[in-house]
Amino acid sequence: MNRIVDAFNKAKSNNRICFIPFCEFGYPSLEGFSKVINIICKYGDIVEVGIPFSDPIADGPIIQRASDIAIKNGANISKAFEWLYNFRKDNKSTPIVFMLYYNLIHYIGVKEFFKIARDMGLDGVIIPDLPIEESDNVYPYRDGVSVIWLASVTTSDKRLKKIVEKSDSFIYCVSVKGVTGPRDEISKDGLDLIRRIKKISPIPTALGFGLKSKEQIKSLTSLADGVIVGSEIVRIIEDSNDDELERYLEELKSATSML
Amino acid sequence: MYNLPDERGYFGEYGGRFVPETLMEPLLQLEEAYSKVKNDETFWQEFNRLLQEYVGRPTPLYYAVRLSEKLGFKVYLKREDLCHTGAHKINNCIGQALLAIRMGKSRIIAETGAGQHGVATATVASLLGLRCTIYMGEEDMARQKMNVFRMKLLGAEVVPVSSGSKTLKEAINSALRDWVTNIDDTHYLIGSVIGPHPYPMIVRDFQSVIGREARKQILEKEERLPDYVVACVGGGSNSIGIFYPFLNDDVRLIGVEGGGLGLETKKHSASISNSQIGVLHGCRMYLMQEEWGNIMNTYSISAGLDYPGVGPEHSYLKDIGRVRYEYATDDVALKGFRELSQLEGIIPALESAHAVGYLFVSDIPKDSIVIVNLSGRGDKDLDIVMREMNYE
Repeated sequence: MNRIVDAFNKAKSNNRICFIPFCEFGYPSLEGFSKVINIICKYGDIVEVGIPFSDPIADGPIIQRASDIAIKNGANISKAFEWLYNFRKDNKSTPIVFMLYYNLIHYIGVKEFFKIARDMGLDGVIIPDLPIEESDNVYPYRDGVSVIWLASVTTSDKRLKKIVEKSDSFIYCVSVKGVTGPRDEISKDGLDLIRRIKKISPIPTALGFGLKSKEQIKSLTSLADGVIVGSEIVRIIEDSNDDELERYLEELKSATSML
Repeated sequence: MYNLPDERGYFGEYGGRFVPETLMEPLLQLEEAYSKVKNDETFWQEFNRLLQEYVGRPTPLYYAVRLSEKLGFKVYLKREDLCHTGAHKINNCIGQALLAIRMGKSRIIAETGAGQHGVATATVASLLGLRCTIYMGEEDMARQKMNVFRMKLLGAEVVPVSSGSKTLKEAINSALRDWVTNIDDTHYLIGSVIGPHPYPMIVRDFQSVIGREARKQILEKEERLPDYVVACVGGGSNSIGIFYPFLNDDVRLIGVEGGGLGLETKKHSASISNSQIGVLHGCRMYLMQEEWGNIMNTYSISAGLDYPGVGPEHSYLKDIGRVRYEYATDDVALKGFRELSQLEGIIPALESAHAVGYLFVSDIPKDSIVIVNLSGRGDKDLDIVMREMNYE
């Protein structure tokens, strides 16, 4: 959790907003993932790792497909923890956040899950099917691991207040009505959502769902504290080679500069 | 006194609202709209009028004489197969569509497995002038061509779902993704007592007309309550519909799950008998899973029972011991299918045939009075049964 808070502070002191790239564990293959994540860690201030699940209802076609392939590759939450354990031997600095559906936590048992997460060096979890109304299921057991709540363009101010109260690292702002996947424009409602949070709390905000271009990111530097890019990265991993991935990440990263 | 779910949408430790944040506001809106109509007589008058004049309610409670003779106890069939569109599904569709109109929605979407709920939804959309999109697994579309055509004829758009097992579970995933994208004008008309709160409660309330009628009818015919009420359980809407009005009575309730090729083969959909608990499609419930929490691809000869979970209220009723959950294998269901056709001249849906078949393997004592919910008719299943019977 502290690594996440530090990442936001560090980016800020470098006149940047936080860059949070996403990749899917076990995709394009178990070995391929280890390679991809090392490239991503060079650029990401925080790195979000999706854990494959059979029924990813919040995800669009690109991440759905990556998740299916990862499952066929034998990826699961247990192997993801194993990977993280080995990863932490060499990398103690990059904050790693797992994006995973609640059933994967429930399967292990919430208490047990967070204990393992802490021991393996996980910094946070994003649970896309757990709204704040269900926070009692996880909040008391988080054990130093940050639970990153999502706020959406449809979230009322009343509920936003509850989300802010339970947030300890940053708030994941969902910029669109819909599932994950690249879009051409950032909605006005998405920008308003960040403003609405800023009005009630100093907690950092990161905007996600739909971002893909450096122009979009550039336009957010005066408003948000971070940006999350997922589907487009997964698409590039599928279609292109490592050099192109690296070029893309570099381009996005440089767009996070506030100067 | 039984009064569930609680205000957080829980039946004991089951239920809840495990959905993407964007769906919370429409769920709260739905909850509010429903609590408003709950005491609004004009809403229920309209609901009851359509059930009576359009669906054909009340459906008969029929004493199955020859079946009873063969079994040694008295069997009454609650004839939901005589509802317009051929199954109980339409009761809930009418209620939710009226609710959608009150919420100002102009479009409804739904998932369907075999097509019964899809056809019922498309029918009601046509009746009430709503736009309609139905999500259906590619596999199911190939197996149920007639129902696909029916839905299209009724004016619905049918969207094939090609991910995962290409069946009901994925159809629900796709419907949820549509809903999260189109919440402004769209109501998601869930067809079973599953999903996030308030769906399991709303669907139960609309379906409990089945049990209320059956309770009244049996008192008229027998001047006493039945000893048993038996119904098949997939997600669990027809069974909760008939059980609910009997919950506070001294009546034994038996839910029959899809036993497929037998529990030991893992090719079945008997979620409760399988004893695992998990979270899918918005609620915590008995749920069949693989190692590390992925959802299992289930199997049943009947598409309507082929679902890895079971409604949260059923999960709770199982734990408190109020309802007994058993299962019938494909073979037992096929026996029920044949026996009912030959003894009573009624061809049941394969789902309902599980409840009928169960009677032949049950320990129900002689001279009992039993009500079986005959939730749907079997026309849609003739292709499948023809294959199973090797009919050329």
